[in-house]
Amino acid sequence: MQVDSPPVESRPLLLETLSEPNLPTPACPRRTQVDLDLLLLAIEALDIGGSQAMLVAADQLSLKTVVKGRVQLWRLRSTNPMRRYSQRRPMTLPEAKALTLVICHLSKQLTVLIRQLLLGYQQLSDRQLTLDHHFRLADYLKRFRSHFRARMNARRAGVIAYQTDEKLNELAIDLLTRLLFCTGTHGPQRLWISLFDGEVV
Amino acid sequence: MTIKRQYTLPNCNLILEGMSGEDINNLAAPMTILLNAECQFPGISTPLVGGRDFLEGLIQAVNPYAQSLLSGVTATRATEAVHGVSLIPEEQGYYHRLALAAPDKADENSPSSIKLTNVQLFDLMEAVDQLLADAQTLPDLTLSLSPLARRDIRSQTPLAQQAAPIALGTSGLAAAAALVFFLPVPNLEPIRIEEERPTQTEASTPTTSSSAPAGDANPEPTNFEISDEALAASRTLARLNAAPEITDNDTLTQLQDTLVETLEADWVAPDSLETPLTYRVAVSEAGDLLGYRHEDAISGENAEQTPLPELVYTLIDIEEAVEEPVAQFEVILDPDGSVTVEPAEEANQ
Repeated sequence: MQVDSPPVESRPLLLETLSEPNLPTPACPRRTQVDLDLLLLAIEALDIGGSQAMLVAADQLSLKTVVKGRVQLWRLRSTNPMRRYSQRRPMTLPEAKALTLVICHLSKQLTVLIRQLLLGYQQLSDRQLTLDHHFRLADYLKRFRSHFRARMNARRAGVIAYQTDEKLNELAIDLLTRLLFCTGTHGPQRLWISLFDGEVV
Repeated sequence: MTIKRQYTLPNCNLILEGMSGEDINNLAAPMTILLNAECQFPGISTPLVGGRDFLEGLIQAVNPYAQSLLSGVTATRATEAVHGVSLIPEEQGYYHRLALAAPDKADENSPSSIKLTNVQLFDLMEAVDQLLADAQTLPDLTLSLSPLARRDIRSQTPLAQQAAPIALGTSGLAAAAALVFFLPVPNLEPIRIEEERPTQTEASTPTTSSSAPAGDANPEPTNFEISDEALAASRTLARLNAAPEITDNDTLTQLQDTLVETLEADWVAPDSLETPLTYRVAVSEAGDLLGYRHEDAISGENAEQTPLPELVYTLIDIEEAVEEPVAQFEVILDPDGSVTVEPAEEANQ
């Protein structure tokens, strides 16, 4: 049998588990792109092999049709307007769903570490100790700061707010808390819905 | 037979006791009736206890709170406590306060509120999520999440910053209004070209020196109301005075006859008219009426009734010097309908 057209790429079934938000525009809002990229950045700071793990996760979740490879993943993450090499392209809803699922999948794998770091942070702040006292936490914060500074455009208004180490640490802890809430049974649904808070009509 | 379900997490235990409403002997039957719900946090001796209302309140407090933690977006309206269960952020640090508005009166030791860390809160949420995902326990309870609408969120910018543009705009408008108040009201008058024209043409062409006396010869030009059209026509006549004259007698006679014919065809005297109307007109070599001027007040008043405004050519550029030769005539329109046309005695009157 002769086939004239390439086979139609079927949409991964897993994406259907996330509901379509009632957005005024077909593409994702700006905040969604920022949040997804920052959460992935926090995963990279937690796990040295994070960027490779993202591709593996996309493969395991059968999301290869959406996240085709390293370059495609980089392009998706670069829709974050804070990025130094920001791509002026919109992020579609299937792409955002795929990244959401990857984030939740990886955070579930890192759940023990995330809990340790958050408990450690809680203890340190209760005793009013600096964050250097927890080696693993200090390591995470340092890596997050260096990732952030290397990849974000320091002249952007959204990035200027995070000039100091303290502000970046706050952001890193905030992202860690969010990752914890992604690890749950309904993590993907909760993260996905939260991405559109205040954006739907 | 009582069914007991336990959702155990490192920092939170949710224990539900109930029974199956369907088949008492079927062990696999789902738990549909809740008798008692207990929420324990290790390290806190006394658990939060309640019935179905307490459990529903717990779920409805946890869902929006976890969502606002994930998104960082706060709703404008604080979520009201459902069945007395509320969850609010603690003022300092990364703590959350889970409060029960109406603790069980029978148990004096039952705490009314518990301070939760992030991890404890997550475990509470996860216990709730596992319960919601469990089809064997209270299957009527399911997870329902929806993003906050745009109108329901609290803006990230403080009120003072939001108010600044409004204040600036209002004060700017007030200042502008105060300034404009002192400006004089513009004095709108009808066209005053009559006065301006000689000075302008004097500057441009020396020939108009003769038109100034022509204007003076007409002492009451503005005493009565005449249309702009008639005014413009009379004005052009003054200018036409400067144009070269047609001197050929044959042409003059022919123009005179044509003018009489044209005017007689159109001239219908108004009933009220008693005296003849006199006009000075200028005609081009081709017989076109280039301009006219009334010679007395009554003629000026009645200029609109005559065919002259209809016949006159409107010049595109009133200031342009007329190069073509013209002939000037005295036109007398009688109340009885007759028309008399005579060559003007003195062109530069």
